[in-house]
Amino acid sequence: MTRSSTLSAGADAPPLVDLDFHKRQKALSFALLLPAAFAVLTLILYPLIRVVEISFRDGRMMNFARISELPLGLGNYARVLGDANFWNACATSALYVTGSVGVGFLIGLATALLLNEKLPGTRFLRTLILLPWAVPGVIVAIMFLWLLDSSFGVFNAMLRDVGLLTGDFPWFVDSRSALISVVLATVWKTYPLITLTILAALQSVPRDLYEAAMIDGANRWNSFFDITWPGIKGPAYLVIMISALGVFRDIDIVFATTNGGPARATETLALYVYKEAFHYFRMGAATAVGTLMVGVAFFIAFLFAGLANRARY
Amino acid sequence: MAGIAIRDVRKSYGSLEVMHGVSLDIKDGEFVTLVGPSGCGKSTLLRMIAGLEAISGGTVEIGARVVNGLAPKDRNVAMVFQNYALYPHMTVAENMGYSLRLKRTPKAEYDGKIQRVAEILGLGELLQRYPGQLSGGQRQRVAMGRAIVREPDVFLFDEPLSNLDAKLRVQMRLEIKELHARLGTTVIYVTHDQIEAMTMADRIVVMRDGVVEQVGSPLELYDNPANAFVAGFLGSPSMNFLEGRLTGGADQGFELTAGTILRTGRQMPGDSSPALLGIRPESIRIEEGGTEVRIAAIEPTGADTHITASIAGQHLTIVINGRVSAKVGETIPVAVDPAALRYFAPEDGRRLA
Amino acid sequence: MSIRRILFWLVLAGFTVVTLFPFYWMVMTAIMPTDAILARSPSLLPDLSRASFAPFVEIFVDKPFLIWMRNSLIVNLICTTLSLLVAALAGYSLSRFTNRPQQALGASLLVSKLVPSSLILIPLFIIYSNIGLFNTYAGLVLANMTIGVPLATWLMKGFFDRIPRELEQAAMIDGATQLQALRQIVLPLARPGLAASTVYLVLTNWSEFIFARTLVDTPSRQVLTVGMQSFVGEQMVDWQLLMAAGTVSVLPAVILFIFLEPFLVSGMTKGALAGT
Repeated sequence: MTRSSTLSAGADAPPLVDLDFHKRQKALSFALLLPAAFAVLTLILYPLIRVVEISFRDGRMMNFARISELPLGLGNYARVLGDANFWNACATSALYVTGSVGVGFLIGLATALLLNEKLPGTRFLRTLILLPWAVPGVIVAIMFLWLLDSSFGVFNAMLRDVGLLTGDFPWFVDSRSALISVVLATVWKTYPLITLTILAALQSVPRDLYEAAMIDGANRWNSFFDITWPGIKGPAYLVIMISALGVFRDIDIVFATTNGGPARATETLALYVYKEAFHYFRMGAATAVGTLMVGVAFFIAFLFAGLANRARY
Repeated sequence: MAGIAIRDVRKSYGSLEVMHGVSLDIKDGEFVTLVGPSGCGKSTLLRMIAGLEAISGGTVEIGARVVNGLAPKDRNVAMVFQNYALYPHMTVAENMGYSLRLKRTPKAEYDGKIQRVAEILGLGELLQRYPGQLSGGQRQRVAMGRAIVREPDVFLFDEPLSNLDAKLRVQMRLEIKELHARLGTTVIYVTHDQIEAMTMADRIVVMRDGVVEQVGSPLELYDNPANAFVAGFLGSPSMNFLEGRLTGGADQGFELTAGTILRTGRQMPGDSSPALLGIRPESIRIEEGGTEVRIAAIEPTGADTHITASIAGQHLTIVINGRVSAKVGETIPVAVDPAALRYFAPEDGRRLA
Repeated sequence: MSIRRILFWLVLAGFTVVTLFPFYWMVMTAIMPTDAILARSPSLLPDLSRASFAPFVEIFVDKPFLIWMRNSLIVNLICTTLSLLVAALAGYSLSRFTNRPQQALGASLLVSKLVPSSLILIPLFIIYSNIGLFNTYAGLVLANMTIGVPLATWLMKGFFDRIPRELEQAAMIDGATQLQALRQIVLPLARPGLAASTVYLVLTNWSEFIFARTLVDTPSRQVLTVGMQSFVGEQMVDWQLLMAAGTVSVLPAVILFIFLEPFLVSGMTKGALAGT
């Protein structure tokens, strides 16, 4: 066989001159990380450290540049833990998250199962059902404020038409219904992601398992609990966790509908943090609550990640 | 062209060493297969030669040049991957010509080389297709074409046939052999399939757990395995191993655990110590006056008949050329060629005689 | 089609109608005359011959809608570009290497997903006041990156994971340097991932509210979501105008979503979930 000399220039030089290829490769892998590492360090980790630091600064300082001159102490934590409003916010958050994600999950599961039935037009219906996911939270809030408006909202008009309501009912203003209304708006925005995830999981459950189960005499109910659920529970736990974290963290919908009212009936922890910080300028209390929140979120995420991981086998 | 010298090569991940000092000399133009069970380190060794994996200790030389620190592109090797690794966004011609493009080969030469290689592999019709439009066998050819176009010092194959069906595999085996004969380039071929290893190689390297167990020509390893592992790994059906005890003196046999003596017609090495007796299935024949064994199963393959028999509670596979009239449950007398018997130490499998 | 399947289909259609109703009513409120909608008992199927698109003009005249949109667009485009660039590089590194720095970054990105925006806002607010980033596009872009970078990095990692590394290795054996392999082999194959991540980032940035509301207070620098929310605070809410504005602000997101849904679906289920 004829062979042209294909050794590259680098190879003609003594091999020890240039840096080891594998070390160069490693260096490159670090270099690629640098911008992200810089962004994460300055924009997330450093601010988070400041959050924890500020939570231990006792007293109040309106000049934020000098907030670090305050003495260290546990005053903020003591203050917050003794604040009835904090405990109210904890309860509200718990209700808000479980309500939104619970209902969202049921609707998501139902729609995913229906979409998976390969009915005519499901490809198109899927896109339509997913649309709310693309709507900004603030716009969701505005849409629902209008739908549920006391006097001119179409929802009350419908209730009046069927005779369930005479006169007006202020859904977002009445303390009995405010949280439910906020949950409703949140469910509308949250459930599409759950539908989508479960649908993808359903489509990865092997068809022949259902055939085998049918031969074994399983009815639809059995095959759901014995085949479908084990097949989708990993992704289901994951999407529940992601949705719950999202609802727990975000304040857009609550902020733009009720801003926590009436009388703190819809004040979630995330909103409590925001108000302590930017209405009352109690940065210490706000960061103390925030630190506790991240700790709890971490714990919950850990728990669910474990569940989802175990479900894989 | 180039030979390859591997000197005490080690690989570790953190504190975990997975390859414990492998040394190997491969002559220029030789066809060497690395064979062993999965996880034995054969692919890792190949990837270290290619430069895809860092070498933790020792040196690899290609053509008397230490390549440890060189990038894959500077080693002048070509590799065929198990899943072919064809660039999905390039046509067959572009896939094969990628190395030429990187070298800024002039257009005429580029076209000529691709045409020539496409002809060798029968890919002429497919040059404008994309990998996604090809069958498994065609993809395999393109992957080889890409390697040939590179005109390397060494071809590296990483289980290239394992994704093909049985028939195609046999055909490609022959084609690769022919190519090697035609090009004369050094080949290192990794496989877990001992038949591929036996039929293709000039020399086989058997590996296990990051160590080379034995190196030699296929028949050398088949006839004179260094240990029970190599003996059991090569050959299909694989070698029978019977547990028992060597009996010295007049018995001239091998005492199986149950007290049955298998007559071997030869003076045993050592005496009365426990041993593993290795017998190739094809070196057992049915013979009047031999040791009686009970037939547990009969599998006719057409040309041969495979008999699974039991003797003193142990299984024995026998390959008989032609057909057998005996039935399952019957006993048959068998005898073995004393020269074909191999003895191994039961504790570590090392060869006794 | 069996009775059961017809029933299923009807239930599904019912879900779809209920889900789409808020959109429908938003558009109706915007285009129908006030008396048709602002009624005790409005017709759900108003007489479309009376529809008027005047409110869509009005929002641009009466409100600084164009300025809000422009601001949203500026912040969005810069933030999306920067996040994508940073995330693509890091995502590749995370996908191909698992050394200490990669593990550390991966862990930090996960932690950042647990932090509420309203919390990270506090130190950002303090830092911005100190270094003069308050009330600037740059400040807003950086704040949005606290969401965009983790999101896009995990997405991109997921997409890179699906490109077999043997392809780059084959390229490097063929004579490419690592960077050539990245440019000529990996990036062309990562295009769907880049597209999906771009859409994700654009949608996320488009939705962002609380940073913009807190870190910017000059009216001329306000973004769309903040502007929209300011409608609600007014004494007498002009619902028709508000719904017209809502329709216009949702439209880009919805169009983007409908056209790129297949990409998003694969990204959302594989990339986004794998990353959390």
